[in-house]
Amino acid sequence: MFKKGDFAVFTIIVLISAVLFFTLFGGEGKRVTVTVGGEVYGEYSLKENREIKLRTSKGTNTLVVKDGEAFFKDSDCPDKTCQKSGKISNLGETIVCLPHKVIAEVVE
Amino acid sequence: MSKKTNARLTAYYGIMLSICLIIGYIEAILPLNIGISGAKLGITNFLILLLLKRNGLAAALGINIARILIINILFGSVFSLAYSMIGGLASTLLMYFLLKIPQLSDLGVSAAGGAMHNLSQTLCAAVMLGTPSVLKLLPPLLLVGMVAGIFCGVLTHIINGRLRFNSQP
Repeated sequence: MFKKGDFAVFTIIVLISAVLFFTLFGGEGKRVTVTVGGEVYGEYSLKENREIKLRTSKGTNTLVVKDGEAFFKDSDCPDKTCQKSGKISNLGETIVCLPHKVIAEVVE
Repeated sequence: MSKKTNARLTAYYGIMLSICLIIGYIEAILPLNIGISGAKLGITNFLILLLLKRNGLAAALGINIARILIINILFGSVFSLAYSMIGGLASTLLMYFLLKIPQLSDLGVSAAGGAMHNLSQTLCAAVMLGTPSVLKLLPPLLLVGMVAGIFCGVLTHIINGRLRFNSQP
């Protein structure tokens, strides 16, 4: 079923993602930056536990910072992808809410 | 082209499109939760590859565009439409060119198509959102796209060998 060239394709894809992984990710982050439509909305320390209501022109998301991790608790968008995305704590990890154009990213 | 072949082709493409839609519907109601936002198997890809092999670029592109339009009108938004259209077109075109390389089997072509689908969608999201930070989703998405692509390639390989009826114009 396989041919020789297939393994070249697989190797190239794995290499690209490995290179991307090591260039894009670092260690543990200290703060989480929230941008809405490309503009910075706010920056929050991961050390302080808190709940932030992000009010955008398209809807509201609730971002929760707890025990050094950030996650979306609630969103009034239809797909709820951001809620299902889980918790982020490492440098460079992101959660994206496409309908509201909200991005939360862990930074230094 | 005689009237008979024409009717035959119309029916064939209609069946292909409706299989694509049913698979798309099943995928829409059965989300695959593996911890990566928006990841799904993309099983329709195997039909697109099958069409590329049997009926050429125009048929595959036409059915894919119709499928994406209908699926997104039914289950999506304008945003998801643009997004899936770019992924669908990019992967179909890449697979078309890769099929011309004799060293590649369906599995390799389909794996590259799956990875390309996710790559172009992520780039599209980065441009639409005006931020490069979405690109950080790329490493897992490329691998998931490749694995899903291999799965679809196996399907194409098996089904192409067993299709009895003649669907060539």
